Amino acid sequence: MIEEISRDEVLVGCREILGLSDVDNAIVDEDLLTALVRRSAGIHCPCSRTVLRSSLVDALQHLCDARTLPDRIEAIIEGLIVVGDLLELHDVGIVDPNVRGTWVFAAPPSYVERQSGDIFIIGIVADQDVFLPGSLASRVSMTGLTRLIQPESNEDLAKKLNDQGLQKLSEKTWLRSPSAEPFSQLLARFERRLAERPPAGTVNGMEVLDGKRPVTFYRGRWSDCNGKTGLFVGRRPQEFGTPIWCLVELTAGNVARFLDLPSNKSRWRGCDEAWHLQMAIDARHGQPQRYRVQPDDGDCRFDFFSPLPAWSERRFVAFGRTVPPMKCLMSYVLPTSAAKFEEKFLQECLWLSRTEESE
Amino acid sequence: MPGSLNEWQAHLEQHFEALAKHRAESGFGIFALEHGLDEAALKEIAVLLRLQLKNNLLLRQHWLLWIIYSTEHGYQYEGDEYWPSFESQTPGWDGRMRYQLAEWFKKFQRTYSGVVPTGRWAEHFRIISRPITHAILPKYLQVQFCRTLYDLRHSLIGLGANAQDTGDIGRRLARDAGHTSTRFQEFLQQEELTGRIVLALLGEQSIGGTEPIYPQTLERIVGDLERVRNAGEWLRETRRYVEDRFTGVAAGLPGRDGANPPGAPVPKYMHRFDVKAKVYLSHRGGGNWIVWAELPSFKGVASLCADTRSFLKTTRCRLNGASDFKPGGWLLSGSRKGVLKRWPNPRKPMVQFEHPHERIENLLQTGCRIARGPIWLYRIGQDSTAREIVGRTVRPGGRYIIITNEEQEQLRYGMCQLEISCADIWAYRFDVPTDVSAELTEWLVEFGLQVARTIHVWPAGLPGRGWNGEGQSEWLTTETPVFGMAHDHPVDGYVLQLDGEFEKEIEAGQCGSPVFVRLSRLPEGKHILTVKARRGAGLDEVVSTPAAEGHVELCVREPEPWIPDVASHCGLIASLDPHDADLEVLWRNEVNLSVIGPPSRSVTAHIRLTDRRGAELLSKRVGGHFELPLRSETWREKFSQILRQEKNAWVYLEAASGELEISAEELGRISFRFEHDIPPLRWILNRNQNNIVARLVDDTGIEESEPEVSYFNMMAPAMERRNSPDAALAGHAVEMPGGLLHARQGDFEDFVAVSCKCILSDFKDLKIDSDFSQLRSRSVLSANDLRLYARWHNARLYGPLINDRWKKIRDEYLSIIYEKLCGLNWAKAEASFHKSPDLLQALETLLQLVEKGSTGFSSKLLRECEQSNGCVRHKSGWYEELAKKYRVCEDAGLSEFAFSLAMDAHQVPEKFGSNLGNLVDAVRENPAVLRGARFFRMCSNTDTKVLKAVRLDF
Repeated sequence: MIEEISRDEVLVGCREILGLSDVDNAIVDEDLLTALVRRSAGIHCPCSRTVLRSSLVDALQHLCDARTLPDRIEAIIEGLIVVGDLLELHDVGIVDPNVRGTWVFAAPPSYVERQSGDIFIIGIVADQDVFLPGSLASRVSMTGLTRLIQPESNEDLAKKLNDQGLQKLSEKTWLRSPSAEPFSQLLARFERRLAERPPAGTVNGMEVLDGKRPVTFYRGRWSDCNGKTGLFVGRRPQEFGTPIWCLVELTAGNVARFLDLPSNKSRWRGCDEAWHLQMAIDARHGQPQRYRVQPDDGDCRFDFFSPLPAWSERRFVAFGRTVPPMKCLMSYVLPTSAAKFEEKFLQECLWLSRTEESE
Repeated sequence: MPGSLNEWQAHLEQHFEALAKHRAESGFGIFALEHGLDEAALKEIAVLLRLQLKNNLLLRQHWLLWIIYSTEHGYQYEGDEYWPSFESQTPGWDGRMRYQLAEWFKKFQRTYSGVVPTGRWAEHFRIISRPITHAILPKYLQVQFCRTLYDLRHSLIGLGANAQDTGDIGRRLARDAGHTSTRFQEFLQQEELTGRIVLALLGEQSIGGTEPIYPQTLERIVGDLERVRNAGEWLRETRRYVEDRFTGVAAGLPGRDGANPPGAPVPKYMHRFDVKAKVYLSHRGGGNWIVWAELPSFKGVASLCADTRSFLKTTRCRLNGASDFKPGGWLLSGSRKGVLKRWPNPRKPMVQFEHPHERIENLLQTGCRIARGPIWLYRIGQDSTAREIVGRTVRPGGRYIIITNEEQEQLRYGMCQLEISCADIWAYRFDVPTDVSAELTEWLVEFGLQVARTIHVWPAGLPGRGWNGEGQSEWLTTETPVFGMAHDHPVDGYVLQLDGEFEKEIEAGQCGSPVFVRLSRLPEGKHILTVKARRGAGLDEVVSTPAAEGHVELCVREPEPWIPDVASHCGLIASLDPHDADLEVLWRNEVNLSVIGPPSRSVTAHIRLTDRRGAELLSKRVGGHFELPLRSETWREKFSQILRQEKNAWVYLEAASGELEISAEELGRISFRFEHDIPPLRWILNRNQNNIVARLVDDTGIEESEPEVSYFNMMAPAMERRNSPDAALAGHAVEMPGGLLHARQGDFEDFVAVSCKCILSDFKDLKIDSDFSQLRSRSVLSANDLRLYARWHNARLYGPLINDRWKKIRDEYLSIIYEKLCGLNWAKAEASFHKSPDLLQALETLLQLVEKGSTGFSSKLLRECEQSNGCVRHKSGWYEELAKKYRVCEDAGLSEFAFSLAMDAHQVPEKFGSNLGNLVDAVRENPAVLRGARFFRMCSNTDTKVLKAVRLDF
């Protein structure tokens, strides 16, 4: 009934229960973390990102390096939001319709059929790590954070998944993004909304993305407001929960006005709107954010130096695959056939500029 | 091989005798489908039986063959009408012979210990329930049965090892099967039977030496399942999952048929259900906190018996501390959270039902109350939600909220008051310093709190469900709980005990070094893991305090099945009121649908109607994209457009079920299923060009009398015309422009309002001017008038324009009832209230008319309505007290009747039954009690601002 087990046995037991292929590997790698985040989401969602993270930090204490663990979990949560397993929704009530906030939800089981016929499996179910019957579950391949299943010859896989109760999502819906527009138009719209806001009182602890710092080092761009004037993307702390993204007007280091993000009735997350706005601000300053394209074994590797909004990052997950970043923030490999179209998307929707430099 | 009917009869008698003997010990009844005959033999017997019937020969001597024949028909049954297809395949069959068939089934039961149909469906469909039950798993239920097994495959493993009998398995199926048809749910009520089928289908070869179903019959059913789309795969997958782990179930035990008598005290086994509520505090922003409660699923309680299941499904409940009622079935739904406006009274259960239920009340009294005060300790989590620490133990460095039921005058050690949206309590924030001084410890002890010892235990590896950091956790029966343990002071080892047994000693290692322990899979219920530190002898000599000891509570439950298209925590909450509406209620546009979700998203709604065979008759999008939140008024307005379309009205005539799907792209979809309730006595309607043909179906099995049939034409809705039952059973065209068809047989009744297509020369022909002169001219209103009104109100609706016409008749009828009972002046004032743009003046007139010469009673009603924000439907008891206090009515029963009549007149005949006539007479003598209730009702529909403006000083 009760037995003492070693640290390695704890991890092997976890891998076994979660149905991971490499069962004897007694390490906390990304595959195990991803499966654990999905399981935790099945237990806790709807909840905040902090709850997801802290539940795993607690469970994995003394089992892996505690210093890097929170950041690794956070990256996986973000990744699962990008692929659609998790939905981060704002202005939604979960206990009382009148008490609304931003919460992470587990997406219901769904699938997206790609033009190639391959199918992405999306969604998380409480109490069940695998929600497909064994005959289908055994065919699911994990590539990073995505779960893919390929049809067999003459197989109507979509129909089988429908019959299992999975919801079909069209690729168009899944890859929905804001319409392309000039950066000036986006900024003008938000500046109008910002102007309608009342003057801000004292706002302590606000940090902003400094437009004067190099666009190729995202973490280094965060600074305090001291002495700054103009339009900035910022984050202001709150007593409980993660800092709130906002668009800020600064006058000599003081916050004149701020607009919390996401704006009213926006379907995008606060960070997605903020990063999109920062791209527009950088473009207006004549310092557009950069991406780099390099050949990669017959394909193209795209390197990015700043975060992409989830709706654009999802395209790279859909059409390509994630690879470890090389001297940048994140990298993806796309087939050459898709690369040209995606470059156009980056330039038109995100106003990014291609660089050949090795930063 | 037998050749004649006599030989077949003899062969089958031998077969069933042998089978009965073999089964004698097991307690398993015998099904007629267990005949062991192949397809060719069945065909041959059918041909011979038909020939015998054609030649008018005696049927009795081959009674067993007729049972097999009718059971085979039951196996092919599609859920609609049994007899028409039976008769068409059996030329010469006389409808009256069905009673003889029922007797032969009784003989089969007596002779061979045959299965006896049970449950509500069997009681209502006395004859056809026999061949259909003896068909074991009729084809039309096979897909749903396999899907249910597949959905519940995780629970079935645990159940296999722990079930007391086959009834346990059947009860689990009945409890957890979601999203299935009404008929299937009725089928699941036969818990013993379904438990047996589960065991047989999942490969349980024998139980106590007896197979649950005759092997050849089982092979046939499985073969048929394999041929049905998906069913085969679901069955294979479920079998694969439970393989080798599904043994040890005892056969049915006498008396455990799942039908515990209602009102009995809580059985001991009922205490294993976790009904403990959790109360949380959440920061809502701006320094303000709210209090909310979460209840566990009551599915376990519902599985006890049909009585508790039905009670939980239909009875509204309210959280202790909340003002709003939750709909029936809420405790069985996916999300059971609610905000508390007042701190719960610890003496009362966290859930209070609208009506009492002794056994559930007893359970709630013992297991569903919050801890007694006067203080409650909460630890603030990183998610700005505070969870209760039942042991009232604080840890150095922790952030806490202390709830008290008395205001604290002296706040020390940095304690500060918090703003909390909950009455009757005070909340204080208290951050415990990392270094807890002796003085602070003493103060905390005085306050009723303790400072924790530091042996840290936590769920290791897999994240813990419901882990509050202080020893409470939740696990699944499929999991092996793993805990880590570490200490920060010298400890030699730990002594662990599970549920007071299975003691295990392990070495503790150095300070800060963890050890891990794994428990084996645990059965459903509550378990306690006790961890006791063992100190070295040297340390024991110098330390006077006892060694640290703690408990981890493990609540173990079955995994919840994933049911596609059912509302879950996907950010989209759709609710229906009434939650169990059938297709008739949907088609009367009386379903309140509301959808809550992120306002940045929209949803689409699709309605689909299908016939008995599942063929799609209608698939329509309702409205366009609905912005969130979708309110019920918007929904009903859009849905009324679907109802007004004539072709949809015709399609509805053939519909057997409907599905409403709410879809919000990646947020998911939720679908609701609506079905026609199929009563044993029912009108069937068919279109014949522009006519509607009505035919009465009588499946009650009542032999002694003929049904009574009557018709009320729309042009004279209160005038009854008796019709011939034979004509009704044969079918006849409904008279223009339509009306109310009514039939009664014994305790069974059915009524349908039908509208026929009119050849219109003008739009004004759409309007029906009903003649109520007969009702108006009556000097005294009778109980029968109320009964007829209830029939019109509750009727199923069919045909073009029916909704508009029916509504007009219903409203006019009701206004005459109130006029007759409350007086002409009152009726005029009510009409003015409904039509007048000046609501204020109309209300002031009504206020003065409730009681002659006094407005005290009516003023009180108005103010109560204002304070309750219009939620007055549950205030019947309050109204009775008030009427007594103001001497409007001393008789509480009469006040209750008046309240019901004012709120829901159509429910009054059923609610007050045989006393209705007396109560109607009494109200006529004391109209003020009804006028007061009507006034209350009208105030509840009025904006609070208008209510506030009403003058009371007349």
